[in-house]
Amino acid sequence: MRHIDRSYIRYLDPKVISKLKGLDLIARMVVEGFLIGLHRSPYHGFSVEFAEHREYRPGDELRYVDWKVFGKTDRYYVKVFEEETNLKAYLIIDKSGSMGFSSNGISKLEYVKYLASALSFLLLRQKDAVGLLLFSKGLDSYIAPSSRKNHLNMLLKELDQLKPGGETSLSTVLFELAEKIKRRGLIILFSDLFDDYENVVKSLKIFRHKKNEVLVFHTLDSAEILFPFTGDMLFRDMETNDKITIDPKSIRKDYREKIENLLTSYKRDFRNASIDYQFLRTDTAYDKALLSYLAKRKKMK
Amino acid sequence: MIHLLHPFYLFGLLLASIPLILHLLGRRRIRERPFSSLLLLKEIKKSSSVWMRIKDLILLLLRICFLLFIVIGFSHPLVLSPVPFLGKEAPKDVAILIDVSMSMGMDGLFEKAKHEVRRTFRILGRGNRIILIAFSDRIEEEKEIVDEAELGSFLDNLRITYRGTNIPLPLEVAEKKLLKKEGFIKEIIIISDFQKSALENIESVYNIIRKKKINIYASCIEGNKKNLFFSGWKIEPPFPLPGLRLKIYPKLVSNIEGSSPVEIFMNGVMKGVKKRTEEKTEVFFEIEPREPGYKSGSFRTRGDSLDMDNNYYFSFYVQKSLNVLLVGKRNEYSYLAAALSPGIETPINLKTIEPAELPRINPSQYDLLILYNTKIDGYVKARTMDFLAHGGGVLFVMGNEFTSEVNKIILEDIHIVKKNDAKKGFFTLKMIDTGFEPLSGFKNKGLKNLYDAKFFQYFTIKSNMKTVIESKNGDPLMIAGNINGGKMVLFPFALDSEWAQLPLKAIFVPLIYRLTFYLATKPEKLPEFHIGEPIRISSQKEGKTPLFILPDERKKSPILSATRKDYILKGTDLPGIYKFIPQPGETIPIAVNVKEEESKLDVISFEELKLLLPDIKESEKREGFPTSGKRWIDLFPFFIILSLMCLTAELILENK
Repeated sequence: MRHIDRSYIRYLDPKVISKLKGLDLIARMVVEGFLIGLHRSPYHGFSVEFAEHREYRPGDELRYVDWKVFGKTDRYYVKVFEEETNLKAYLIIDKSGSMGFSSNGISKLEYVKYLASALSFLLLRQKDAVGLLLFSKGLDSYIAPSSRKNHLNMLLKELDQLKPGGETSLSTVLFELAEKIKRRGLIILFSDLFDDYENVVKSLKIFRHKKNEVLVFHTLDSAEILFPFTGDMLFRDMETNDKITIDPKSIRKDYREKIENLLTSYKRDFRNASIDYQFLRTDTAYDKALLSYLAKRKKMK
Repeated sequence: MIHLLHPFYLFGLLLASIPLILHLLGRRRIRERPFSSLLLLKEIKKSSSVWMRIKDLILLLLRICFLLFIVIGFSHPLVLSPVPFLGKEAPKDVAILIDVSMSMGMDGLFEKAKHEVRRTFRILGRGNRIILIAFSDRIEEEKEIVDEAELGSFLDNLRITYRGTNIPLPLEVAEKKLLKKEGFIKEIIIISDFQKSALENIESVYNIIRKKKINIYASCIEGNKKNLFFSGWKIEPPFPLPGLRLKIYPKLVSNIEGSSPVEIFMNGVMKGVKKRTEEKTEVFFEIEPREPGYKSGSFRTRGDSLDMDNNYYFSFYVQKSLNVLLVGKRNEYSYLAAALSPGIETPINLKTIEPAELPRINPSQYDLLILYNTKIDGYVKARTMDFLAHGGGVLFVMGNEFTSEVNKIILEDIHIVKKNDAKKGFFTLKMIDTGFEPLSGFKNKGLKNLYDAKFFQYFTIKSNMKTVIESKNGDPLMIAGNINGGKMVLFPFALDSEWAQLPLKAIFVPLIYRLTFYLATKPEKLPEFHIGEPIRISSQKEGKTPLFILPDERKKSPILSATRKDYILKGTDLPGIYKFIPQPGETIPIAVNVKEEESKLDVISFEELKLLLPDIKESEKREGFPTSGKRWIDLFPFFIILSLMCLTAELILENK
């Protein structure tokens, strides 16, 4: 009888994850939880190159059980494969002031941090090279892609120190990065995309033009979508410090319409440009994001 | 026309400034909120900010209107309805004035009045505010009545008083009470027998009340008007002395046919009964006080419809003796002195002096001054005029001293005139019926043989004083009158030898006594009071505070007047003898009686009352309150609804 330890799955919830300390732990928990939840999924991230045997654990698929070994030893072992890969993944994270916005305890940047950590862990586990780029108005930090075992620590350390700040100039940065990344790879962008819409789409198209695969995690807070505020308010822009007084109720409908239009436009235009687009709310579980990554990764095989 | 029931509530309009202030403060207190990007907001802001301003203004307006309407509502604006309404719907404030003065104590009258109160209460029905005011010549009781139980209790405890009636007083009180009430229909109902004396100055009060839109109804309670009462009394002689037989006359007023009994009580003991008949309207009682001092008593009658005025109280003082000062020559006045000597009939204290001694005497210590054949000039005149000025009486006996005083003024306008046509002969004396009290009852009996007065053959006396005995030819033989504030009788019986024999006649002593008691200074009469009047009595005694013992044996201390010369006892609610005790061992009885006008039962009918107060209405004939009229409509609910509408609109707009 199979037993699945579902306690890991709870670590896909951002609220639960945010209570843990240490990005390495967070990354591991998220990924473990994700993988356990994946056992019936058509996706699996295991490589085709056999690496070693290990004892069967609940959640492992039966097709990977080595029956020959079972015949010899009368114990269950599964075959663990190791993929041979030369994929370079670039995690590009928007760390501008707007990413610090939070209405439910977890800011967009924190959400992205945990997600990027989990992805790094997952990617490195698959022997992919992972690079990290942090930007706001310009490129703030860059860690070249690598698949070394201790590379994860470097990535997590950088992510751990990540703080929101500065204005966004997303398209400018993307243009710059497109020039910088010579070898094609997987571009994973984490951003709220609060920038000039056309320029954002245009800059990402350049990556596609250069044969890169692009995955965009459009991350927003629920308040940025629903605009639930009441009473007259003075809104201060977290990047520019501009201020504006508004009665939220009076504009809520218009705002929702506009943000809906923006999301629809991004989705449509990215699809037309063969860019994978995943909209994430900071209160949604991480498996959605990880699944979209796996889907993307499979497509690249 | 709009009328505000509580205009002072309008001060609450200041509240309307509160939303304005809060609004302005609120604007400053807009919460700041960091937001990721204002890109989208700025695009929407343009249209939003205009709406926000409009919305702010509308909200402000609604909040001000909400408070305005609330405040105006609570000030109860009233408008006259253009449509007549049915009376039963109208709230009423009614003051019922019930007369509890003595005249209402007539057989059955008070019960009729109470019945009318109950009837009125029933007609008014529930939901009305009724003030009951019981009145006499003051307000006796007043109470707001809510239900019949309270009404029954109030009426059961109500008692008729001995006091008089004053209708304007409760009218004014009722007016003040009604004006404080919020009702739109105000009425006063007077339930009384409406004595004429109770209506003094009522027109002005009535008109003032009518101008204030208060309707006045009257219920004239009629009853049996047969009544006996005492209007006063008198005592004769007016100078009571121990051993002197006194006649006490009660003044009984009656409108009853047949005889009425009158009893006299002295110190609570009945001393006699007399019957007053239509023929014999004056009755008297004879008493003979043996000791000097204060005496008190009462009269009683019965057989009429009003029992409360059937007792009448009196008190008087019996002086120890009467002090007479006789001035003259000892050899001349001996028979007069003998007539007045103490011990013969009454206790007279006689002092005789020569004219020359008069300056050394203080005449004010005496009750009577007799000048016997003494010329009134010089110090004698001065003393005599002084004595008269103090209200004293002077008996002036003319003798032969005056035969030489022809054509001279003896005193004031009295002078002796010589006759030119002197005739000898005899003259018949004539008593003139002038009502001169000392001669009443004598007629001509005792004087018919006294006609030989030679003096008057040659002389006569001219005076403006009243001649009470004259000879047939018109010569005055006794004249009486007032001089310088005092009484004087001039009696020239000693002018000649024939007349000088008058003292030998049997009539002399009683005549002299009559004149003596007539002229003697009357003792200061004890004051008498009526119910409701304060007893004011002077007392020079120092020391312990005096005391009053009331007819019901209660003790009460009087208050000292502002001048500190009089003691005043307020609250004379019971008729009877009030015993004033200025110091231990001394008691002065003061009689307090009911008011005569309250006993007269001089009432007026409703028709007569209507002539006096033109638009007064008869209470007993109506069946309901009031039949029709225009109604003040209170706009309170209207304004409250308006304010609630404002509140609702504000809440809707706020949440939009």
